[in-house]
Amino acid sequence: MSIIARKNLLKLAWNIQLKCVRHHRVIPMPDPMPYTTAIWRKRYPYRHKTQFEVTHDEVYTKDMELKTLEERRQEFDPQPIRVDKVNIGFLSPTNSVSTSESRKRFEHYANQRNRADLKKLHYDGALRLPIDEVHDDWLSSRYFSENLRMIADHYGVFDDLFKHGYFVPRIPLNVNYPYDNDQVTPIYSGNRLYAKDASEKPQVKWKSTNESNEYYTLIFTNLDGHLKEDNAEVLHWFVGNIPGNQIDKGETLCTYLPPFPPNGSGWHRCVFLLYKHQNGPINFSELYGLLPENSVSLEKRTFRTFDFFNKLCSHLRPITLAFFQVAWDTSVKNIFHNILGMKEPRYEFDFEPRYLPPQQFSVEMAPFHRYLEQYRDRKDVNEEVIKHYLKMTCPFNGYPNVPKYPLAAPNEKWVPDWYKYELVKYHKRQGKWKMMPF
Amino acid sequence: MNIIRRFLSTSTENSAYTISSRLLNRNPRTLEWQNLQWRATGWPLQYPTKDYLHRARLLSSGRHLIAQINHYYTGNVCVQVSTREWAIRKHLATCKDRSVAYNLALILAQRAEECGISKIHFGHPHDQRYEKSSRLQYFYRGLIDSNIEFEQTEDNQTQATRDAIDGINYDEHERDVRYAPPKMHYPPDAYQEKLHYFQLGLNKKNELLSNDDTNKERKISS
Repeated sequence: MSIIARKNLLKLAWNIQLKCVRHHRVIPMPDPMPYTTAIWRKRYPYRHKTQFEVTHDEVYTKDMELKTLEERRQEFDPQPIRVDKVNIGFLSPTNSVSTSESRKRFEHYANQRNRADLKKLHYDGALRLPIDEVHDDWLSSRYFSENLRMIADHYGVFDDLFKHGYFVPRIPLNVNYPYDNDQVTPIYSGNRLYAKDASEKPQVKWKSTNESNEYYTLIFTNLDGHLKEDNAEVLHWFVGNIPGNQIDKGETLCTYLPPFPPNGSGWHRCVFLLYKHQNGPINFSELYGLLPENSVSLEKRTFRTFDFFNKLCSHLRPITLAFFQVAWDTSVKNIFHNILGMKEPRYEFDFEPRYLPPQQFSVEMAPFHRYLEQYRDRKDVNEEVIKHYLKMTCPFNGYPNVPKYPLAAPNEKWVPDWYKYELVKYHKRQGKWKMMPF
Repeated sequence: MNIIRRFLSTSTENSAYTISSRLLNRNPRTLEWQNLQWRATGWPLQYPTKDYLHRARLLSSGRHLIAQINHYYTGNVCVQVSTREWAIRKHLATCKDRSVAYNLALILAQRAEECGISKIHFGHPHDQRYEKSSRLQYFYRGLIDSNIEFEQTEDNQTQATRDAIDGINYDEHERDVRYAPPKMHYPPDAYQEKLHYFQLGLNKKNELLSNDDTNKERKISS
């Protein structure tokens, strides 16, 4: 018999015992889940719990040391490109309120505050402001300019027209499309119209001071409707060198073409931009280039406002804008066939493709009908639904007899389980049947 | 033989023009109007809800009221109406009144329609904050009277009872916007009955105090 001699045998034995026994002393652990937010109290009272529950605290106090989003962004991209926007329009408002006028206004407010009849209207909830008058007054105030700039920013109009430029529109632009007899479709800022309403030339009016050397240019473009290139606009109407207020006396360098948003392409923004000339009339063919006069060719009507303004920025300055949104309508077909002379395109929304692993021949632990249905073309699946719906609502078959509680009625024939679950889905209108109108 | 002319146009300028197979619509709002934009539907316990595109809000500064329409994703203010404007303020005596809020709602709805915003979400029609402030109630009334549409969620909407509004406002931690029950001056069953009759516009007589002879026997016996 040999004696196992070892230094510190007792200590070794004690350590082995310690490892075997659960102990509640704190053990440093690597940080397994750094971005959690659970924090336990330090003095956990239940000492009989295992080490993991007690050292929970030690692990998750590192929350406070986590970096903020800004710091992590900084690490990722230490010098992001910053572009400050440039104001390319008129800096000062055209009709600012003079001090005498504002003093009068404050006097008016003081008078209003002392009127007992008005206060009674307030209290009774019977006060009704004249909305038309408020609208007219608002059009000539700086709040209108600011609001129009905000909404144009919201629709991304400035980003697409002048990339890093913007301007504050100083005067209101009244654009009215003729509708029916005397009625009129007005354009404000972001109106939604159908193409039928914009098929004729609109009446455009703005307020001009009666100076002799005042010239304007009106440009009407479609920011989203270019069928070939992504960053270009389509020029629909160009009238240059308009003296004062009268569009008829300006040079129409591009005849009016109604907007033609193709089917399925969503809402296109169409913008009326009014530029004011700095010094008199401009010779556009010299400074900018050829503009399509009567031509209907879409290639010639490709337009980029950024390039246009770059070339002519010393002669022009944008003073106001008005824009609306157009969507497809049956009249667009006529525009394509009769005016443009091309086939009408039809678009569909491009949904993000769902990720599916490559299809395997045989799959274990997966219901075969659902697996196979995943790999079918979505259009075939929808076609089935539509055909079923048409069969149900066929006018020769009479009113469809939809039972009130279809799942309560038992099946007459025996049917395999997987088919039963498919029927349940059909009755509940889940999955592909969700599109059924009833 | 009948040769049917395909197009009535005589121009051949676009005959050689080939369209690209994809069209890029750069309008950032087109998806919203087409109902294809992702909505923030993952916050069912959040109150006021985040599941909106455009929200109508009534703010008050020291002396003025501001009515705004906010957009959820970008945080932009789309339309703003405030009593600071001369056009509105010249008709008013006080700027922070509840009838002013009503009129601001009407004007806000009109300007929103001009800007193409046809559907609006109003944050909190039935919570404690709304019930306390008659200004907000008049604002909501103004939005309703202006015939602007309200946003609706797509899934089946169960009737929103007061008890269902239970969520926690993760956005504003300081203020508690949860519904608090009204102060009850009577025991619960009697209060419910009284409330019911009050809403009907009737005064329910107390049985024990009435002077009818029919109930006397019952009273004596019990």
